[in-house]
Amino acid sequence: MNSPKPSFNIDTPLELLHANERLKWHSRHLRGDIATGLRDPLTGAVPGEDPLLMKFHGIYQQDDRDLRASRQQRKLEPAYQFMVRLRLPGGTLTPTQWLGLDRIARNFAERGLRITTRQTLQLHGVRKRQLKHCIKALAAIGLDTISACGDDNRGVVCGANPHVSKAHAQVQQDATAASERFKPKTHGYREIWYDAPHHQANDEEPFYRELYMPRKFKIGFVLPPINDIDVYGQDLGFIAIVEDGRLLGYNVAVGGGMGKVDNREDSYPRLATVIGFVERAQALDLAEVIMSIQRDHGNRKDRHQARFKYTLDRLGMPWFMATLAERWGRPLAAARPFSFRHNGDEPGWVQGDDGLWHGTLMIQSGRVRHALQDRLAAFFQHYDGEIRLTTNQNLQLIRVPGYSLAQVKWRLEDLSLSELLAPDTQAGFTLACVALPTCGLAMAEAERYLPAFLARFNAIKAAHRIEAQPITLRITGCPNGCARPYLAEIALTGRAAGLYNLYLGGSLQGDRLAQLYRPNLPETEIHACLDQLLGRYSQERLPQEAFGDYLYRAGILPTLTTPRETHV
Amino acid sequence: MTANTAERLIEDTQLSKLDLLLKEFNSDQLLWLSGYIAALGKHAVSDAGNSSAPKAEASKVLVAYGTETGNSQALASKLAFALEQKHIAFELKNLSQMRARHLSRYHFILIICSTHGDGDPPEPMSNFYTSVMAADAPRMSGVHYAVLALGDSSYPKFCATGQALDDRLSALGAGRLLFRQDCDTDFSDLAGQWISDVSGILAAKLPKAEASAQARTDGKRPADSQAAEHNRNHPLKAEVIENIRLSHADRSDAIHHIELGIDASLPELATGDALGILVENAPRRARELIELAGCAEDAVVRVNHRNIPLLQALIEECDITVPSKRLIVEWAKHSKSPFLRDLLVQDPQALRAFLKTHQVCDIAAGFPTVIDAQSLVDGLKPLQPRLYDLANSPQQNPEELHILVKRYQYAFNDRLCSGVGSEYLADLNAGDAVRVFPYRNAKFHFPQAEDTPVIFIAEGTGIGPFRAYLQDIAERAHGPAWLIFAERSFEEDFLYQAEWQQAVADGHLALVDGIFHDRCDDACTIEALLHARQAPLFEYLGQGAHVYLCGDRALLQGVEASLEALVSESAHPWPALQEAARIHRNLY
Repeated sequence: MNSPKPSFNIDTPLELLHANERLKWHSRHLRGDIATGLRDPLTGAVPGEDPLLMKFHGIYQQDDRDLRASRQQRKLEPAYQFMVRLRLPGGTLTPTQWLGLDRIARNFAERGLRITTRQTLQLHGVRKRQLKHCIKALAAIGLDTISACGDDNRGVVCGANPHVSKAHAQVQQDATAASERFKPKTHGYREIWYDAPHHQANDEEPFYRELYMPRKFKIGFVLPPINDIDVYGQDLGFIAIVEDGRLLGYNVAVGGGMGKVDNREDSYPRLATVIGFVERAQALDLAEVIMSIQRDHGNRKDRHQARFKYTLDRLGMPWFMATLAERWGRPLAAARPFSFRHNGDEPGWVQGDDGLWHGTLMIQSGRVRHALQDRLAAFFQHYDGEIRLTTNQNLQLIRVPGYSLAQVKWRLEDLSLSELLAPDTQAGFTLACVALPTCGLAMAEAERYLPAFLARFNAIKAAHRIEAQPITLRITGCPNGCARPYLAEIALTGRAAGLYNLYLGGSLQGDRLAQLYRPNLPETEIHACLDQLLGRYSQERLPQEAFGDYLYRAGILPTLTTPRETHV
Repeated sequence: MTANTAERLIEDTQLSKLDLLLKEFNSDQLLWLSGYIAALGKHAVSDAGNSSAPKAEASKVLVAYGTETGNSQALASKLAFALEQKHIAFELKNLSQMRARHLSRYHFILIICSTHGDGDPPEPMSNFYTSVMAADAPRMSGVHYAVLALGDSSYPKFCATGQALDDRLSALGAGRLLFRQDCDTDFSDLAGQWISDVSGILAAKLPKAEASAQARTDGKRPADSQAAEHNRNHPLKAEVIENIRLSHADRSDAIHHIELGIDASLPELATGDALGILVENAPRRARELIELAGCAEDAVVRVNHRNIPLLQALIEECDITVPSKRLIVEWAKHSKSPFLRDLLVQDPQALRAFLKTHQVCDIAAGFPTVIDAQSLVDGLKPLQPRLYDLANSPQQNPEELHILVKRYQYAFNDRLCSGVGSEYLADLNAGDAVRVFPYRNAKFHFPQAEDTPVIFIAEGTGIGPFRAYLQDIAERAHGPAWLIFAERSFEEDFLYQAEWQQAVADGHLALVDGIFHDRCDDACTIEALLHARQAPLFEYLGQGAHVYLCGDRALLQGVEASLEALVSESAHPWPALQEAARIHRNLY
């Protein structure tokens, strides 16, 4: 290194890097002592640092925070349990897989199935002794959990656009290929969970090598004009360029990210920057080059500065573009024109250009449990389409042949599911993360608070006669941004029990950051604040004008120049 | 020999008898007799100087007690007092210090002993009991004895120890002074009668002795001993520091960890010992009974030598759950119920069946009457103290006494009843006062040697003493410790889980095996676990391990049987381990 100051990247001596880097280094490609820890009968946890490694396997060790204090008093360890997140590129499932998941959730998990903001499913409350059985049962229906978390390529998301379903099928293929290509190749996963024989060779990770990525790396594919996946929130976004129903390639966006910590000024959400266009055939090669730049230059000392967005801002876009050109061997073509209309899920049935039908069932906070779980399981017993989960935590029935549409509708009606097809408009534009009681990061309620808040919010909208206008509304229990709050028109991020920061001003298209409007508001003041603003909006808005756009036009929010200023 | 001397040495009656007798002898006879008597006198003097021989006729009376909770000891003191009143010399001994071979030293042996649990001798006298029952126990012809047996008729083997001793002494050739008296938990009247009877008989058989108090060898006079140490009659006041429900809120037989603070220290307590607790009846239940009996709460009654209000008596002193025959007598008298009257004169089987199927409140409700407070109290059995194993080390933290209590509920007739002791304890709040006394359980003490391994097999609350042991060994060198623990749910009922984890991390606890009924995919019984863990089992036994079994009797007896079978062909057969006192049981 010529640099006088150590940059704490992959070339820095290991002992100077973050402890997680050393953990990865010594983990023998994510094996650690997980297998031993799973057998330890004295605890429901996996001891030591291995839970950090298990994240790479898509498994989070958690504990029920509602019970922490009482269990400590009872001289018991915390109520350890595991969240199991599937690797589900593009969020697609067959009905058979759904039925298998339904059974697995009943056998091994608590609280049913949960559709996440990254278009996959999570099982909560799996106990350690059931974990291996659970992962094996998932394998039996063709599913795994590798790299659903960890410092690697997280689950690849893929937007939906039922109107161009032929192109969508191709984009979905690319998303799946990206997931396969960038998932960790370690045999450790199979050894630990499937009892596969030990793999000796040290050639397991040609791309990631020992240290994997400095931090999580999110890839998303999107089909304009719907920006449901919030492509500007991805580390690496591919925006499909479709001409006459034919997929030409992708505009490439880099460096988006939501996470921030409230007590650090150098921590902020960032919109991805569109840097050019790549032909479809080269898209994944380019992805690997971009990931390799982050792999080699990302900050491995300070994990709060390790995301790709900080690498880009630290080293500068010109440096990045030069390094990319060097590694890619040629400059990137100019970005093609595109536009987004909104980032929600549209209700109702749509016929795609392949003649097949697509409909969206709105699932509040993605929670599939109790009667809803039963009804969906019943429905999918006789269903010849496919299933697609959305990044807005909803469930789409896709590729339904025309001849069975009538029966599908009739069965939805019969099972009281049809109301989910046409709920109030707001449902397709609302997100909440899991938060309490199982998320270790949560400082306030989110998913459990949403039903009450949403009822109140809808009442305020109705009072001002704007119930037909969708407004992106997102609630998270902490500032880390799982429900992508910093792209919403209205967002609450948890500060403490019952106390939220109120963010306003994202766009309906998901291409503008929200700004902190009022910090530390209790519930009543949030209601009052929104009542007043929505009241003004209903009186003063232009035709078709979205709430976020109105806030700027009316001067309620100051105009921003750079993303950083959103948090000044 | 002058008349003055004779007057001082020999009583008038003796002198007059002697005079009458001597008048029958002629002079030759008298001459021979003088030498004979002189020789007799010399012999007597030398005997008196030999400390190993009985000192005098009067010292050949033994009062011996075998006690678990102090009742027998207290009655032995009463008997001693009665003998002193009659100027009868005696020795007062705890049977824990005696063996069968010592008995033949005495002419008269008065035994007071209780029965522990269901038919077991009190732990301290177990060695004596074994020696008397042994085939080679010495013959005892010429010895006379009497037995006062204490027991609890709620156990099938009521007064079994006293009965066994009575039969055995008779079989060994000793003669009964009077018939054995069996007493239930309301023993004071019958025991008092027996004491009066036996001391009267002895007085008639023996000449009066001089000051007999010095013949007592027990070391302490009863009054002194009671002042110095705490027992059921002189409990120590403890204060509840904390009462933590360890098990899940939904569990009806909840397990509580209760920490008691004491100002005094109880140096006699060791790890493995228990705490006696003077439990109390729920005031609600006492009031219900008072209402049914038509009494006044504040009526003054005399109970256990105290005059106290009825409500207090029913809360603190009387068993208001399990009826005795005495209650039927009182109730028949007051209610004039022909049924109850008949019950008392019919065959005892019917009465016993009635007592088993009725609680005190059933009788009070079923045969309504107004009864005076004293008669009510007299009809009730005394409330027995409850024993709970110490769950902390009295050495490491002498100011605190920790116990584990499982709420006990049972169906009786058509209602759900709570066990008196566990309800009282589980409902305690911080700051409440509790009366306690130390209870020694030497059989369950732990090895002090620095290399002896310990295998501790516990069910439920039986895990408590092991916690105390771990607190001890955390402070000293020790052999490996292995805990085998059975409970219901891994997540909710792994009692003291966090502490075991710490002990494993600190290297004090080598092995932990939990058997939880909610995860029966693995070894789901202790027996199956031991079968699967034979390697460490034989390794531990090979290193001289002591095996502890603590908790539910039925479950752990099964475990012991399978352990016995498991090691029967090994180098450590069960009888050998037992012989070497390496098996310790604390079953309930």
